Amino acid sequence: MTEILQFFIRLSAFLGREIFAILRQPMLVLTLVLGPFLILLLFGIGFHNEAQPLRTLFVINDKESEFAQTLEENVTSLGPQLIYMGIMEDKAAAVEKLLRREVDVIAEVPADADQLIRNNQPVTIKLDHYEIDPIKKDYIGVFGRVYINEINRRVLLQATEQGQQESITAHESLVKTKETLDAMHQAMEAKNEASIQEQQDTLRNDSDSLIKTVGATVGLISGMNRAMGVEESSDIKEIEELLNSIDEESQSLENADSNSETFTEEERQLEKMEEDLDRLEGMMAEFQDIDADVLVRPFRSEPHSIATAELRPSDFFAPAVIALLLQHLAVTFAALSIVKERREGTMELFRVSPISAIETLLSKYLSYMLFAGVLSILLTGVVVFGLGVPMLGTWANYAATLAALIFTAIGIGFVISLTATTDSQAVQYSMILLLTSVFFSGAFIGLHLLGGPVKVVSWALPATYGISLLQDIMLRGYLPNPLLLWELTGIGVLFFFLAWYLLRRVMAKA
Amino acid sequence: MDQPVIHTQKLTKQFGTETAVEEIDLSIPKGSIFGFIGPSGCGKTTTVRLLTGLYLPTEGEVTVLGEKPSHFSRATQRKIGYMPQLFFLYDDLSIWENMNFVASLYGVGFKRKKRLNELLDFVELREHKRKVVRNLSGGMQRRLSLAATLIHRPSLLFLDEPTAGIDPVLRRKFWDHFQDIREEGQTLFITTQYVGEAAYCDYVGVLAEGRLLMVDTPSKLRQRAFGGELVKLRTTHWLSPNVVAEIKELPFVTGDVTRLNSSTLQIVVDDAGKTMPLIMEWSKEKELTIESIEEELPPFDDVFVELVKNGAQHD
Repeated sequence: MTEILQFFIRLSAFLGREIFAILRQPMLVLTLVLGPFLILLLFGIGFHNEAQPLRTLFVINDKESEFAQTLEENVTSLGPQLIYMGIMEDKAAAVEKLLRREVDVIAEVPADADQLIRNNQPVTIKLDHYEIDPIKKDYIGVFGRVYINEINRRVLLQATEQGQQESITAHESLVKTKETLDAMHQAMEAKNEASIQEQQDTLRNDSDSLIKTVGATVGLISGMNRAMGVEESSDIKEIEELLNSIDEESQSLENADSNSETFTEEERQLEKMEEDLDRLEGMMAEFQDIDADVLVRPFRSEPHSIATAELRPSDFFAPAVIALLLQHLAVTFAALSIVKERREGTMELFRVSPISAIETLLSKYLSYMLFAGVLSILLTGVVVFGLGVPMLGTWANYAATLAALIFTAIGIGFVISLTATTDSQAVQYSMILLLTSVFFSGAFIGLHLLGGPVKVVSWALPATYGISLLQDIMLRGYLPNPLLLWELTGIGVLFFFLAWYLLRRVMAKA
Repeated sequence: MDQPVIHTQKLTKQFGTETAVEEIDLSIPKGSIFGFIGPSGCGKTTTVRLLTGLYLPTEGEVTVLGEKPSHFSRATQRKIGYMPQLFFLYDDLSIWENMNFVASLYGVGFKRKKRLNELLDFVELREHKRKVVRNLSGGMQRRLSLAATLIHRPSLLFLDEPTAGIDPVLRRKFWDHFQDIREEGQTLFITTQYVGEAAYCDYVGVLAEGRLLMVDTPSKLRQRAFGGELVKLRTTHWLSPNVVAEIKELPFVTGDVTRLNSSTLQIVVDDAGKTMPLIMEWSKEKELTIESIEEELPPFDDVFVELVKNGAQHD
């Protein structure tokens, strides 16, 4: 029999051994496939991607005050994340409620809030909480900013509505000025000197009033434009020019000689002023028609994904679950493999038999790769076809990524197996690796949240590469990043040689 | 003369400051059964591990099949079969799966079914071959270990206490098979705590506290244990001290004369076959009526005790 044939026969030793051992535990295989499926299913059913509502209790010095009543009217309609729990005057009693976890947040409004505003000072609403979770702590900060912005918006909205109300007053002035112009026109036609003089005075007053009220409204719009960085519009400029023109025309008409024989020039000015007022009336109507809410909140955002598939939260986490699970299984199975053989004495047989360290290692790699491969197919089947997680990339890229991930994880498992002295030690090392992967692989905490040196830990884990590559392939349909794929394979090769070196030492003579 | 299959010279193994085996000199010819006898912890397993290459010697020389165990070639490894003292196969596999696993390890071709069945027949496990090993008794596991060791037809077998935990009937069957293997030209190095099994060996090495007390054939070991062969003489009447003293002075009596009871003596002689007629003639002259006279073959347990005792006295 040729040496090559014997080589393959020896390689088949562990292949058969592992397959038989695994087939003898069908429940284990079933659990390994159905377990993650059920976890993802439960996650998909139970996960609600909504901000947490906070039970908020307000503390105000005088809860019967008008300010408190206005506050109550407003806060009850701020949004679904604010659950209004009432107003209290006693801060200590409110804190007691917070300690008993009956409320989530205490919003303490200063006793002199209205005074502060009148004194040109902002009012700071203090938010007390009893959270220990750093993410929830940050959330309360964001919650505070969002709702204070909403309160500020409402205040601004009221001011704007007030401004619009004033523009109605301006319109009334405008109508009155036009009526005065008509009266003056009739007086000029009748050459009634007394009436002309009376209308000259009235016109001056009316135009002054009109310029002031319209000027205030224009100032409001102009200020908003500047605040938003919008260049002064031609409309505003035109209104300002019209106001200047009306002012000059009213002055000119005021100074006209009421005894004059003819009023040709004055008639022309009256017509011009009438035209200006008509033009102004039209432009003011446009401003009145703008929704106050649009004026205070002219910009809004609407996120839109250009992804070709609509992703659910469970879809996003599915690649991470696959990568984490396969890494953990491969590491654990490999970690228990050699340590068990050393403990049970099988290693003594290998050391005496013609099988070499490299053949032993290759044989074991082959068997675990095959096992993990079958498991991957089943797992992918239930995730993609059972849960409907999208697979936008190619199956070849997906398979290549899983092969690299499993190969590397098996290498790590063998190194653990060759350094651990007992089964429990090997399991503990595997669990530590799993825990590290949960925190540092980007499965649940984004890699961007981890600091520089810690990222070294992240990129030493096969799962980090696996998750990133699988998310790109499955959810974006990308080609796998060749750098990541090669780095992952490189780590695998490194662990292969390390495992080989350690196994040679174990199989060497004592 | 053939080169010995196993040859050691002053073979010593120390673990730290503790000496496990000391200056062992062995030369085992091809086609023989070498029994390695000694109490538990005397260094038998350490010696086997030195000979199989699992341990490197601290001092001394060792060659097995013409090679140093530390540098066994793959061809030589294929000629060696090793059955460790403890069960070494997988308890989560069946008997048949374990047999196939070992067969693959040794590169035995896939047409092996007949061979495996033969071996399972020999160890009486064929009808249990689908059973998972963890459900087998200790004795069945030993039998499986032996069968697995024989799969690749090794020319040199190291069997570390192969009959431990096996019932006497099957033990006897094992030894018969070992002798069959020996007849085929294979060499067996067998350690055992059952001193009586020394009788089945061609050569026996007696080990105590890491030192090889002696190596010889079983019959010569008996002689060396008691100073010669033993003759048991029983008379019809009481043997007086004077008569016993006279027997001790006879020229063909080379060792002790021990009174077993009032009418029975155990006499150490050089050659029982030649001496017994001479004793009968002398008894006739002395008008002693002999009820029976026979060569006595003391159990090897007694032989071993005597040898260890003698070894201790030499120290």
